[in-house]
Amino acid sequence: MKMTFQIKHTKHNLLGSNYLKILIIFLIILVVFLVFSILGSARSLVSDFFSPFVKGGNYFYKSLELVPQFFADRNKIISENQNLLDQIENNRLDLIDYESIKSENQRLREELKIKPVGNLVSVSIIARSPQIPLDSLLLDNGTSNGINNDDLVLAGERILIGKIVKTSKNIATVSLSSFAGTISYGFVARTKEPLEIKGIGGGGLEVKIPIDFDIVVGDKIMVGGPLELVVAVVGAIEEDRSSGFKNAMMSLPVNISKINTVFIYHTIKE
Amino acid sequence: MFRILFFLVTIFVPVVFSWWLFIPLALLSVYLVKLPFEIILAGFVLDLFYYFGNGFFATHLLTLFSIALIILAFFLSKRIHWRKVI
Repeated sequence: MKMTFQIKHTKHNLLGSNYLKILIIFLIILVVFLVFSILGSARSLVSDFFSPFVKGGNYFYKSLELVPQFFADRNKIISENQNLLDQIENNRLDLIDYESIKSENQRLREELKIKPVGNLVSVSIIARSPQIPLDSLLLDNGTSNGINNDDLVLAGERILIGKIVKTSKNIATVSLSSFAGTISYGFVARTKEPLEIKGIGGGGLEVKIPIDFDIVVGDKIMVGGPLELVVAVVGAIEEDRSSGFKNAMMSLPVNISKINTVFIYHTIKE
Repeated sequence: MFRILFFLVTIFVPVVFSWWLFIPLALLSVYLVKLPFEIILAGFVLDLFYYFGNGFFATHLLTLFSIALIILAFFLSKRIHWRKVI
């Protein structure tokens, strides 16, 4: 039996027959992009829509933290409970001290005619890393509550953790001071020496300074302006004698994963 | 139908669990779906929601990633005939 094979040439045309269809889809997507960009409320719409899902995710991660407790030893839980009770008692005493110092501070401010601390708005955190990118937070209030871009975000009355970078109607995004590439200008609280600190991501900050610069582990770095706020705490110092410089590695003053509420300080725009 | 479901998963799973899940899901979309242009839309919507920094690339990070992935898939689809599942 004689068999005949016909070799068929397959055309590998990069711009195939469905090219037009693809182009149309691209154009539709482009139009959607433009419409979304023109509409200022696009971000608000997306934020409002995603808000319950983000909160759900946040609840999931909080529940996940509780899982190890189910497998913990009973004696360990009892000792932990005792430690927590001791801590509560200590905190209660600290709170009493704090209140007396606060009232004294208030009285001194009035006597010296120093402007009181601005109106701080407390806002809940609804998402943090790993749900959203590192060194950012999502807050459950936005422009509808007077939160605007560049407002300062505090973790306490004097602890600065970042600033508002993105706002929508009901959600605001915070970029922490440790966000990679963020530069802050501050000074060492102990010596008042100015320095430029740079965020390196993952809750860390660093500063490159001359080797003879007076800075030690535990030094607090503050920023000036209307309020003097603590922005970082020095955690380690690496000296490089060959270059004549040293790197001071710092961290944020608070553990972001442990806080649920932050305070917004409104900056005055010119 | 599965294509729409997968698109919804690509949008909502990163929002609920973690933003970086968009990257493996987009890659999976390209593997499972033939030229899934919808991931560009998903990337764009997620870019509106997340903050990766200032500047053009950081502001449109996921959108640009999706576009690059689709362009790559478009050219590769002419050379490599991977299986279309969905």
